[in-house]
Amino acid sequence: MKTEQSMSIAKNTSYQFWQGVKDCVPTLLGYLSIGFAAGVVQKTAGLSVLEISLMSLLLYAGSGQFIAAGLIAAQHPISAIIFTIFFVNLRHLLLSAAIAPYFRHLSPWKNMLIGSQLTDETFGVAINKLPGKQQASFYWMLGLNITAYLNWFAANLAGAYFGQWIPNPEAYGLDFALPAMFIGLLVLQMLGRKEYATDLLVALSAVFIVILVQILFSGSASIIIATVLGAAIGMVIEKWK
Amino acid sequence: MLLSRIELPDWAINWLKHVPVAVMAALLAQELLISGDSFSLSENKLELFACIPAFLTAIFTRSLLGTVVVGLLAMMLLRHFF
Repeated sequence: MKTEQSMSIAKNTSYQFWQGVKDCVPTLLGYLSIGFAAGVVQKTAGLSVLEISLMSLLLYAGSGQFIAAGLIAAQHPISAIIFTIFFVNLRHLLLSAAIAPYFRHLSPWKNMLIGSQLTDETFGVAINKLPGKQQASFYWMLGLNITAYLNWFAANLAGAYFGQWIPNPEAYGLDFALPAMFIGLLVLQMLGRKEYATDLLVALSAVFIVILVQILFSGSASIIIATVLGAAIGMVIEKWK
Repeated sequence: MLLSRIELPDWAINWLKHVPVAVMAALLAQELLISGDSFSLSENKLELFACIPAFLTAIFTRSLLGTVVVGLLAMMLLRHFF
């Protein structure tokens, strides 16, 4: 009786895990291409294949890796890079907060594992699949996260190898991958929220602050200052509206 | 992990909501309007032109990959001819 029960638990565990893997599949192609681009951009910014692998596995953040590549190429100090990536990825606080109620039954360690592996795409899948359920399965979320993680790593490596064979990346416009990516992310953010007036004001203030800080202090803190103040301006506008 | 236990105040949530747009705009400005250590439009002329098709692609296709591909092609052509 007891072995039967534990066998059915093990079976259920692996079923949940593979269900998570399956639910991740629709996002794979999109992130494969972004990961590939990130690999190429990091390579052209002067990082080695080993450094790109470590960035992919440890930092594991699309925008974060693009930003790191851009700031490393522009020779910003490490402190500025860390702060900028920290602010860009602050949104994970919001993402985790949104799905946290489904994971209240798990231990803190399991939640830390799931939470630190959460990405925009696994969040997107989770927030679409979870409503209506009382609790989410730990193994389902694990399958979802691990699939996305390995896909990202493979894409980064492929991009890094491909980037090696391009002797003069600027001639192919490859250095423009980074600003083009930021344009895409910015526009998609704004289209998804439909608060065009406020978002546009926030974006323009951030641009203006970057220029102003650069002229006044020629400093590398411009992005952090522009982000903190720009978001604060958005907060104030929303309050007055 | 912490947030399954505590609640953020409203103002913090409102502030966080605007961070992605602010940071992306700031990064874009840094890439396109700053050259070396100073503000310059003329040094980034070609890049600024390449932004136009990239923005249009992003708005009309909502595709991240499409935006990057069109941006790269535009940049390549601009560098080739000017």
